[in-house]
Amino acid sequence: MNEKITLPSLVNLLAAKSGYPKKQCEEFLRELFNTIVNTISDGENIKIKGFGTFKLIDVEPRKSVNVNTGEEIEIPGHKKVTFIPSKELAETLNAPFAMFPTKEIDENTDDTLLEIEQLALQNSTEEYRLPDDSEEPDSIVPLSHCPALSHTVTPETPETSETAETAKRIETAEISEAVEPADAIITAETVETAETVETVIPVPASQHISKDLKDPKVLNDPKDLNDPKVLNDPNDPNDLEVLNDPIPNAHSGTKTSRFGTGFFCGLLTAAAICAALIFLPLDKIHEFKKSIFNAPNKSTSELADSTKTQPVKSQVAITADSTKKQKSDSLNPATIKNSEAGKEKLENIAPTPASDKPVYDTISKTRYLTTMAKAHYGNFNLWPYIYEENKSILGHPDRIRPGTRVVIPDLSKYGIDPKNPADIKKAKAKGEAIYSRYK
Amino acid sequence: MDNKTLVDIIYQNTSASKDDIFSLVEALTQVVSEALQDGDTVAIPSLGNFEPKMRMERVAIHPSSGKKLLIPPKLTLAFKPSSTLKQKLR
Repeated sequence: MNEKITLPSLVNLLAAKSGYPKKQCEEFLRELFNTIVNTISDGENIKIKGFGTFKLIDVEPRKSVNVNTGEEIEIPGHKKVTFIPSKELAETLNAPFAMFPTKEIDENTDDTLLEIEQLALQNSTEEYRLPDDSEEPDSIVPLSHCPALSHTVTPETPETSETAETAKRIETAEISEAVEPADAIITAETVETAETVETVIPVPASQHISKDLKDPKVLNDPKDLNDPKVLNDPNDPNDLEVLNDPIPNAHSGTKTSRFGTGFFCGLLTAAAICAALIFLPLDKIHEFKKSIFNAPNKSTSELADSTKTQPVKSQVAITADSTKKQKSDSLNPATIKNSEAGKEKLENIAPTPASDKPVYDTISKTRYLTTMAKAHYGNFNLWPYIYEENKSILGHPDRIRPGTRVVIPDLSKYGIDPKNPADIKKAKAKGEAIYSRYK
Repeated sequence: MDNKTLVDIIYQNTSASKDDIFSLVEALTQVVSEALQDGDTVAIPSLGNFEPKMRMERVAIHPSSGKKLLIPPKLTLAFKPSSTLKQKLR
């Protein structure tokens, strides 16, 4: 590594490689280099098979200026030696980078950047939530949008999927489903109270939610945790109902995801209040609610700010038209409880795959991300996932520093199967996307 | 001068047989290429230095089609002739 191999060490290496005695090797090397030097000095090109060609190039005499005196001088014409490595040598030397193809670049690189962001958002549900929170105040959309969204995600997954990767996908779908009925409760409840007590709306709403949430907690069976089928079956009839209802489909649009995640935050706060209910008598809730926001739980601390606006927003969202639909949704308490139970179960599942033991590897001059990907995943094309995991410390993918210790992520974290050609294609696209970031 | 004449000249000046020299030349290329793959520089006093160099990726424009191309990074071999060789050429 970065050593200078001089003639004596070259003799040793050659003797070890060829099996000839050292003396003969040294004699050969000296004679070889002498011959090469003499041939070049005579002004002749020399070609060594498998190694390369030493070529002489004529340099034309040219005029220049003496730096010290400023006089014009003429540099006389001479010959200069160049070495052109043979094809075989060049290819073996470039082997680590051989798989990078020359790519055409589109003029508008914004599209590729967008794709990266989308990929990143899909990979982590937490990242997925962040941009939505910022837009919450604008998102006043009829609740009936949510079912349409959740239905589009679920249909393929429930029956076939049993692996951890697909379970993740279900999880996100489930969450959005679970959010929808809860919304129905919140709004339905608040509608009833809104007519009588307008100012105290948040409190009764949260009480109702927490009462409803208590039941699923009791129902929560740990044996069912790992079976996605069990979780999905109760929701299927709900989905069918949604399909038959023409109104949600008519309203389905881009704002649905925003709305769904917004209410997911609301539901989390509700869960926190539910926890409060267990420890405190019912009549002290009003005080405790304030204390939650002032000294929040670890789990709710991040969400607290965004969720403060949440109940208020839900009141605003209620219109005379939407209440009818919501009430019809809330008529199925069984499905609501099931989906809420599913949501809580899935929350319990979520942290386990992430807490796997991390695998580490160290970059060296001959060990790149690609060679690591080949060693760990069996396919060098999957290097973008290693890069993605370590992007905070790596910088440009081609300027990684030897000695850097990187985490080798489990491929299931990204939902990638190294044997699936479609996933390999995805990895290649991801690699290009990473490169296009550094243009 | 091609490979054969080179071997002929070495054969005349050394005690080794032609087959030996052919296999030695082959072994030498292997040794050198392995050393270069490891990132080592091969320095031969009379001739010069062989050094592997990294060419960074770059964006180039295709001369005929005018399209932008992203040319991938590359490891190449750079040869720097020694000063004695340069002197001999003057």
